[in-house]
Amino acid sequence: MAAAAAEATTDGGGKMIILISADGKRFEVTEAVASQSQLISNMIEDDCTENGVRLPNVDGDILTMVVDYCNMHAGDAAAAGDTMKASSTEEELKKFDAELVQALENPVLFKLILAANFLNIKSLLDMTCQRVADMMSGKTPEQMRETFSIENDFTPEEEAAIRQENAWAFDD
Amino acid sequence: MAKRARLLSAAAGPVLPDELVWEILACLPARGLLRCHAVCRDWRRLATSADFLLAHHRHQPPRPLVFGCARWRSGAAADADAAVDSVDLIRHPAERRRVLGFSDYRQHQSFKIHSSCDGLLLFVSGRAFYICNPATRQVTPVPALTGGGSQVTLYPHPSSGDGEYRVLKWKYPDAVCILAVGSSEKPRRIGLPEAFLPPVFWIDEIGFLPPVLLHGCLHWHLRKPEDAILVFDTVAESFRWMVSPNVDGYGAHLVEIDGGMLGIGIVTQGMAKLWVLQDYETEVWSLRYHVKLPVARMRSIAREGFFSWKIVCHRGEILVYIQSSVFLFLCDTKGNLREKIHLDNMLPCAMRHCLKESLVNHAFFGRHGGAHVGQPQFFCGL
Repeated sequence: MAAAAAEATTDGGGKMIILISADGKRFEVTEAVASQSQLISNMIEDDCTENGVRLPNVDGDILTMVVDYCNMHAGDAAAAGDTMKASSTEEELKKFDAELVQALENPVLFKLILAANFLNIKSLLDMTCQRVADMMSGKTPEQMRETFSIENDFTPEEEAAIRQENAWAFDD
Repeated sequence: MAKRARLLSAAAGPVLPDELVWEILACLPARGLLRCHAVCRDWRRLATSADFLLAHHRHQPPRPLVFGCARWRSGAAADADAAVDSVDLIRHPAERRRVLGFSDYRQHQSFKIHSSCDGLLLFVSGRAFYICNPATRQVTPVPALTGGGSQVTLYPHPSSGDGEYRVLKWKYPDAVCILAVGSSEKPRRIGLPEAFLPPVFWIDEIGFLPPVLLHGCLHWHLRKPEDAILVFDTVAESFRWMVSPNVDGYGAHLVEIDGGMLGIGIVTQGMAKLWVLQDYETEVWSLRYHVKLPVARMRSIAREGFFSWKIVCHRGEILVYIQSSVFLFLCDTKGNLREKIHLDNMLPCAMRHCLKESLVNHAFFGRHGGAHVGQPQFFCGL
């Protein structure tokens, strides 16, 4: 079944690929959509996508977001040279990206970063990393530790000395 | 990275590997990165390592600088009578941050930024020159530079591995000198460019638009006597000329394109144009962008005053800053108006200089940032 579906073509003539999440959810996308992932693009070149692409470290709910993002941006690369044509979709894309990113909170945000990194989708990785950085602004070191699950390995004296080095960066 | 405790809280996500922590921290503004020093030993090590700091600097957006004094009043701290702000229009919403705040501007009534390079500002206040890193609030005087009638440019000296910075000084009427920052030696005179015509024009023009540093050379676009690019080789310490595309117009300026290419940008009649030097050796220019800017829309927002323009490149993307007397705008190469910010009572300084924040260490600041007794207070009221 999977093999047959993977060989199917859309009306537009693009070959279809099946992506399979860690929890077994299946997503059917065109090659153009999937190739935004450098990982899958390489697999397409190497001709090893016939039986579907298993992504054992990406959950179905995260892959849903990734596929939505790639579907939305699929026309982007193709239209990049054509400034006239792209201008209407440009605004929609910006709106889509802004809404996607604004809605993201942990743990989903970090999972999406890991997926973007594993699948090697640079624009999505840049966007999500920037979102984390934006969320960190105004946070105290203690809040940052919480977000990143980090243990404080400074003694209270060491931490006080570090804060003192650039005291102005710590006051709000 | 060392062990991480599972502090399972609702806010926590999965643990990210080092390279992704690097990516995220590189996106932080300098102030946020300084706070990271206090998170844990691993983060402190990362956030102070030389290669990370360089990557962090490259990641920072070019922030146009705006200046305000006397008539600027609202929101000012009581102890500052003039200020320089930097504006980040690439983030949404746009963010404006004070980088310098003066306590004694009224006494001196003279302040000018001469050079912005690698996150450092070289400026004159009163009759004294200073180098400052607004991101670390370090400042050091440059006693070997004095007085008016000169234009100075700060640049890193590439062949000295210890991060030496030098200053190129154009002095009326016809002298060029070099001095090393932090050195007690006197400025050294070097040879003038070939065909050095009436120097008055040159020195004004050299001071008007900042140079672009590329391949170890400083480049200035000059319009007089003819459209041309003056090149200063920072290693050979000599000048030469390069061909400029015939851009024909006021406000043409050089642009550093990611990947080490030289561009030249101009906006005329609402069209932004960018030429790119395809091959540095053969000096062949080609027109890369030709974009109609949303002038009517900007004009409906900023009804008065002239527009001035600056084309920049940030992380591979070409962007256009537009400044009116009270607004700053950002447009992209699709002609979209991306962002705008009202400048309150800041006076525009024609966006001559942009600042890319940097936390890279410089020996010339000394260990404690060179806060000298009796020195003007550039960071008060921040």
